Formats: sequence, structure tokens, C-alpha cells
Amino acid sequence: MSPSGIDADPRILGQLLAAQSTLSVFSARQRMGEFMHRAVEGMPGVASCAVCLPGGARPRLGGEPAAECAACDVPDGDIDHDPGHPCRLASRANMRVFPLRTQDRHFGFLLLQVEERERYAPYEPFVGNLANGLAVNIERQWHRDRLEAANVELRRHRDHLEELVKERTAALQLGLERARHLNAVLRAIRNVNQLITRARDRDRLLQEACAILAETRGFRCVWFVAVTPDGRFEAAAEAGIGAAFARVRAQLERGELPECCRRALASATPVVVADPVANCGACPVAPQYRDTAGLAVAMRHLGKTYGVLVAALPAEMADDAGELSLFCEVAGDLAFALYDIDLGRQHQRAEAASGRLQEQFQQAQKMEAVGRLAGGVAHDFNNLLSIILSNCSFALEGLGEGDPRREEITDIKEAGERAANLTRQLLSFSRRQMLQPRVLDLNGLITDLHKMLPRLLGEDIAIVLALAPTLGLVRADPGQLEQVIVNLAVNARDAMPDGGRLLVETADVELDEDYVRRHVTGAVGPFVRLTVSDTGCGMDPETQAKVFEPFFTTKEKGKGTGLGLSTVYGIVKQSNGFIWVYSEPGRGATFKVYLPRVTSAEQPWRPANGAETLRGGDETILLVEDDAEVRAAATRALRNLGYRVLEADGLEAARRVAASAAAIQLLLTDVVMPGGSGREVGLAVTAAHPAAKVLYMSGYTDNAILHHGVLEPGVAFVQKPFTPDVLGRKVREVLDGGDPGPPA
Amino acid sequence: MDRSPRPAVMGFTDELFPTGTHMCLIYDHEDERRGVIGRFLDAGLQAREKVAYFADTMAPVEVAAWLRDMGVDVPRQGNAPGFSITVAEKTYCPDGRFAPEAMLSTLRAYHQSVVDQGYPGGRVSGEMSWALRGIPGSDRLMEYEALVNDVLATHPITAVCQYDARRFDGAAIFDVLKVHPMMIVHGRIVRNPYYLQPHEFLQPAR
Ligand SMILES: Nc1ncnc2c1ncn2[C@@H]1O[C@H](COP(=O)(O)OP(=O)(O)O)[C@@H](O)[C@H]1O
Ligand SMILES: [Mg+2]
Repeated sequence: MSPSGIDADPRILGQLLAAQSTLSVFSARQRMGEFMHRAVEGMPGVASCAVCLPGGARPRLGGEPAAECAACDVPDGDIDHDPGHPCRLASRANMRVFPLRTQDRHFGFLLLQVEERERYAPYEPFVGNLANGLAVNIERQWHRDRLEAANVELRRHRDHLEELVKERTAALQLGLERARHLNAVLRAIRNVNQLITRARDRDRLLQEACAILAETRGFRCVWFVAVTPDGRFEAAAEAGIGAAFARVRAQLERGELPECCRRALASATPVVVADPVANCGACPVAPQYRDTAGLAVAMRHLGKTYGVLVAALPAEMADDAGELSLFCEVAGDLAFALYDIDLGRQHQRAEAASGRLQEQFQQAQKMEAVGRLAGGVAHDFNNLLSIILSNCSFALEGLGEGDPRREEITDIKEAGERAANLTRQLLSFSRRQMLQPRVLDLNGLITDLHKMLPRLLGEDIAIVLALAPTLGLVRADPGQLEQVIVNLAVNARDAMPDGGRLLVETADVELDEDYVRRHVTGAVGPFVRLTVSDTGCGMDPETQAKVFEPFFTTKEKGKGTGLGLSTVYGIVKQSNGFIWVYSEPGRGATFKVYLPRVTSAEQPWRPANGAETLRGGDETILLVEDDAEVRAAATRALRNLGYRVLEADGLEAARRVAASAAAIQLLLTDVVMPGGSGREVGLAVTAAHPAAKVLYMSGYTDNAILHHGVLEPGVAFVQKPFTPDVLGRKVREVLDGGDPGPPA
Repeated sequence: MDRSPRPAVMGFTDELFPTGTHMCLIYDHEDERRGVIGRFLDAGLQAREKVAYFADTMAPVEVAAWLRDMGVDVPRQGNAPGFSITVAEKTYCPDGRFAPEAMLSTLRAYHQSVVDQGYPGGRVSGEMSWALRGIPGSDRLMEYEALVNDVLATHPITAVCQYDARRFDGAAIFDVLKVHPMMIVHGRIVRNPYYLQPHEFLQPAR
């Protein structure tokens, strides 16, 4: 090798050095290769050259692609590439091979076919430097490409998450809208019901009810026709029609009932007329009601018909089951009011005591109506909330600790949980929530609960327990019963801002004929009585009359929801009990809850240890649910816990899956589905897999499998909406439990 | 000719270069190109030199707009006595073909106008991508670039030729490097003191 510098052309050296400084301008490998090739191809003593890069063309040396290269994979950043034989062309005579490698990566070769060694020799070190520079530049670009790809992936991920957040927010929005609708419905019923309790005059009652319905329900018009028991026209009232109604009235007075009324009187269910303009030919007002649907329902009470309620409502509202049931309920309530007015006429309200009874009765009726309506709507929420809550949990799992979106999703989740809470309260008020009743000792439950009461009530309130030394058993859902006591205690606390005394008593009582005569609800027989009294501010009679109504509160906004006592009321009713309030302003309040005493050989229920960790498993679960989103959320939750999940969207699919599955340890099924009930699914699956356990899930149900909304003992049940955690625990509990529990 | 070259402020570097310096900008990011060229033109305008720009990838009005966005004090209309933006293809190939001698005359005439009109100096910058469109004579571009060095020695105007390393192939970029005494790479000056003289370039190296 000649000493450096001697015989070297400074122009060529200058170019090589400048080229080295210029390399970094390229980001494309191909361009770097071309540049490199041109830099070395004309060098003194070099016959031909090639730059061999991954993905590029095979080296051509002297015009021919090299045969040795055919089987060579040029490494793309792989440092361990064929370490023994860096390049198959290296063995050729006069071949100079420069691996294009950095400390960490290997990207190919620079090959020179040297013709005149002497002339070429002085440049070799510079060519080597240039080759190194090329490798470094390729590596830098290699890293940059990967970074870019990672960024794209990250962005895709983020967009997906944003999409998720958007969807969830929209779902929540939908939930809120339904809540608003529910509120309006409740308000309408309340207005009508208040009217009913006030009205003593038939014509005024009908007139005002028309006005309320037209105003609050968005009906285009509403009218009533009152008829005598033998079907003769008696009176009519309307709202929203105006002068044109005179022609209807004239017709009525001639004894001609419009067709919709005749059909309603002949039918047990409401009559829906799709397009009044086309289908109510003879009716003088129908042509005014384009794009509406007509509704007509008979007003009946205790088998007696009082008339017909007719309305025209925007066509799209006529499909709404809630709207229809509201309509029927109002008709029923008004029939009751007409009945009551009749009664009033006949007896002139013989005694004051019976008047009070009457009011109690009306109150009970009213609660009944509101409850049924609230339950219907709350049920729909439950499915939505299940989806929202589980997806929030999943979205959170997918986000890193410090991710700023955690907060947004946590907000959604918390709002969702609050909504779930509210829904639960509505459901328990409407008595459609699934109870899991057990035979239990009320004293034991109170003693357990007693430990947490001081924290709830604060130190200014003394808690006194007066529990009967021996107390009969009751059948009730322990969680719900705790809710009853807590709600009563919290109200007592609110009534005693300056402190006071809370007394919780239990006693066995026998109710006799006399007691039952003096109260609207109640039954003769053995009861357990729970009394919760306080020394607080008390209530006047007006307040007492309303305390069990949902949303009735005297507390400032944000303090009270008005759902505490309505929840209590619902739970007690559903447990076949009843509740009374006694109070006077300034003299405290006493709530008495009566629950039927039961005699049972069963071991009374004891609370389980709550804080167990959530365990998964590898069992196979068949999940049957018709709502695809709820199904997806449940599947995901269960798979996360390690279970194998088979999915079916109804009875048919469940049959198929059960027939082909090797083993099914658990069937998790919705109760009410369009294609077949959960009970049928249970029978079909346990016929094929007798060892399978069955876990039902539902927001509520009136299905035959559940007796009056109360589960039969031995049937496992999980309430929607559930979080993945709740579902996971319940599944484990059922899988670990003793008997399989096929539906009775 | 009768003045000795005075130093020119380049704008994108603090270093001063004699008026008549010939550089090429090799880039593969548009932002990088705009940063260097915008400052180069701005420095010329601030020194009250006569400035010309030959645009190829954008219309002259668009060039004027991005310069204004960068805060360069460009006349509203784009063109004014001391500043012009023209279409590169029309400047380099006025007859639809590229002839090195013709363009070299244009440069000499431009220098003459700088002197006659009493500007303290002149500078030009051109986008060279017009040469990629197969216009007749464009294969003589490197010959022209080599000859520019001679012309600027006697008619000193400061020139920056722009080459897009994504569009010109690597071999062409290496040829560009051979004939430019200085290159701008990532905003830094790369020197090539032994750049090829026109006669050397014209005979193939071996
Ligand atoms: N122990 C009590 N003493 C006085 N008033 C009470 C008591 N419990 C309930 N109330 C009255 O009944 C209303 C309804 O109670 P509740 O349904 O629990 O809703 P909230 O507590 O949210 O107002 C209260 O706002 C209050 O006026
Ligand atoms: Mg309360």
C-alpha cells in the first residue's frame, strides 16, 4: 500500500470528502445508492462497481448481474446477517467488498472490481470512509422510518380512542334525552293525578285534563266523550280543536259516536288510527290532522265504562310503547276519577273518616301509576348504561396512566354510575327491580348496619337501638332492606341539622281486622315491624301526603333528589309489606315499616365477606343476549378474565352452539329476548349439557320464570347494568356454587 | 470588472462571501429550501442589491406570497425595478431549448444592468427542476454550471442554484457537486475547492 497522499488526485479526494458531507441530504436509499455509485465508479484503477442495498436491484459488475447474488438476501438492518460470509462476491479476484454496517445494523455492501491495484490503492481509505458514512446515513433513515410508522400507529390508536369517546358521549347524550322525556311524562301524570284528587266536578275535570294533556304531552288535540253505562252520550270536552269541535258535539248530541269511539268502546286495548285524514272519513275534524295518528281508548274502572279518551299525536309518537301506556293509564285514572265523582254524588261523602281513607287510596293509586311508568323507561336505561359503563372500563384499560383522556372517560364513567344509581332507585320505586329475597333476621341486619351508621349520621346524632329480644323472620332482599334503613336514617339526619336522636326499633306484631279497616293497605296476620323515628323538624300534613312521590323534595337543589322515600316505598311494597309515616311539625317523624313474618326451616341468611379479590377461570361460558353491544361488552369482560366465551343472539343460535360445543360449564342468558325467553334457552342448554349452571341477567322482567318480579330460590341472577367487576364476581360465584340450578 | 468584489451577506450564514460566489443548494425538504432561500433574498434586498428569482415549482405570485409570509419585504406586485420573479423555464430556455451560451449572456447582461443602474451588487437564485422535463439542451446543464464559475469571476453576481435531491437522481447530484465550489447542505456550507474547471468537465474523467 502506498503512503497516503502520494499519487492521489486532489480533485478526486476533494470530491470524495465533499460527497461524504453531502450524503446526509438524502432521505431515500435509492438516491443515496445512485450518489454513491457515481462517486466511486470513475475512480482510477476501478473497472466497475456496485452498491448492493436491500430491496434494490442485484449488483451488476461489468454489465452482468452477478450469479452468486441470486440466493443472497441482502440484510435490512440485520446485524447478524451471515457473519461468516459477508458477501458471496467477496471471493472473486480483485474484488473489494465494503460492508455497509454501523455498530448496530447491517444494510448491504459496496463492491469495487479493481483493475489496477496501484492506481486505486491511495483512494481506498477514503472510499472506506464514504461507505461508513453511507451506512450511518441509511441507519438514521431506517430509524426515522420506524419512528414514523410508530407515529402513524399511535395516531391511528388515538383517533380510534377519540372515536370511542365520541360514541360513548353520544350514547350518554341519548340516555339524558330519555331521562328528560321520562321527566316530562312523570310531570304530566302528576298534573293529571293532582287534578284528579282535586276535581269534584265532572265537566271541569274533563276540561282541565284535556288542557293538561294537550299542553304537556305535545298532543295536537285531545277530547273526551263521557257516556252512560248503556252507551248514551253524556258530556264532551276538548283541547286543541276549538270552534270546529261544535260539529263533533252536534253529532254526539244526535247520538252518533265517531267511529274511533265506537271501536274503542268495543275493544279492551287502545285503538290506533294510522292516518286520520284517510281513515276517519265521516269525522268532521279529521281533515285537520294531517301527519298525525289518532288514538282512542275506553275509560273503564271496575268493569264499568265511563267514556272514551281520544287524541291526535305526531305520527312518530304513536309507535312509542311508553306513550301508549301513558295514554291508557291516564284513561284509567280518569275513569277512576269519574267513578269517584259518581260515588261522591251517591253518598255525599258520608263521613270525614272515609274521606281520609279515600285520599289514602288515591295516593296509593297514584303511586301505582307513576311507578309503572317509571319502571318502563328505567328498564331501557339499564341496557344503555351497561354498555356505557363496560366500555368506559375497557377504554380506561387501554389508556396509559398519565393519559389526559383518562379524566374525560372517568367523568363519563362517573356520570354513568350516577345515572345507574338513579335508575336503580327508579326501578325499585316501580317495583320492577329484581329482588333476591332471602329469609333473614332483621335484628342481625340492623346490628351489622349499626356499625356504619355513626359515620353516615355524624357525631351529633345519638343512635339508639331497641331490638326485640326475639323476632320473627322476614323474606326480603338484604341489600334492599339495608337501603330502606339507610334512606330513612339519612332523612332523619337531614331533619336534625343541630343533632338529636335516631331510634330504630323492631317488634313482632299481629294486625287485626280493626287495624286493616282503618288503613287502606294492610292485611290481617303476623308481621315484623321496623320503626325508625327521629327528633327532627317533622312535617306538616301536606308534606306527609307527598313524601313517597318520586322527585318530591323540600330540600334545596343538589341536596335532595326526592327519590329516597319513593325507593323505600317501592322496596317495601315489593316485599309485600307496607309503610306509614307519622309526624307533626317540630315534633319529629316516625316511619313504620311492616313486613310479613315468615316461618321457615331455612337457615337465615348471613352477609358474605365482601372484599374478596376478583377471580377468573378457564371454563366455557355460553352467553345469550340479543343486544349486540351488551353482548360484546360482556364477552370482553369475561374473556379478560380468561373464560372461553361462546356467543348466541337468541334461542335458535343458543341451540346450535350448545349442540356443537364439547362442554359448557355456565349459561349466562338474558331473560327477555324476541326469539325465545331465557327460560326456554335455559331448558334447551341444560338438556344438552346437564352439568351447566345457569345465570340470568336482566334489567327487570315480568316473565313467568320470575314470580312477581321476585326470583325463585336457587335461580342465580345478575342485575343490569353491571360493571365487568360485578359480572365477573357473580359468574365465579355461580361456577363455584353447589347445585346447577336449571330453571324450575 | 472595474470594481473589486465586495463581500456579500448571505442571510442564512454569518460568514461573508465575495460577491460573485457560486453555490448550490441541495435539499430534500421544502421548509429547508424556503428557510435558506428566503433569507438569502432578504439579505440582498436589505443590502439594496438587485435581486432576481427564477421560479419553477410555483408560480411567481406564489413565491412572492411565501416570501411575504416569511416577512421578506417583497413588492406587492412581485416585480419592481430592483426585484423580479420570473418563470425559470422562460429565463433559461427562452426559445424552448437550453443553450448554455445564451444563458451565460443573460447573466453578463444582468451584471451589466446592476452596474449601470448603480446597485451595490446583484444576486440571483434559480430552481433547476425545469431541467428534468427533457427540454432540448437540458443535458448540457452541468457544462453550463461549470462555465458559470468563469463568468462570475469576471461578472460578479452572487448565485444560488437549487437542486431537489428527491427529484434529481443521486448520480446527477454528484455531478452537481463536482462543478460547484460550494454547496449548502442542511444550511451548512460544504466546500469543494478542487471543483472541475469547464475544460476538465467536458472531457470525461478517467
Ligand atoms: N325524617 C324526616 N323528617 C322530616 N322530613 C322528612 C323526613 N324524611 C323525609 N322528609 C321529607 O320528605 C321529603 C322527601 O324525602 P326523600 O324522598 O328521601 O327525598 P330527599 O331526601 O331527597 O328530599 C324530604 O325532602 C323531606 O321534606
Ligand atoms: Mg332522602
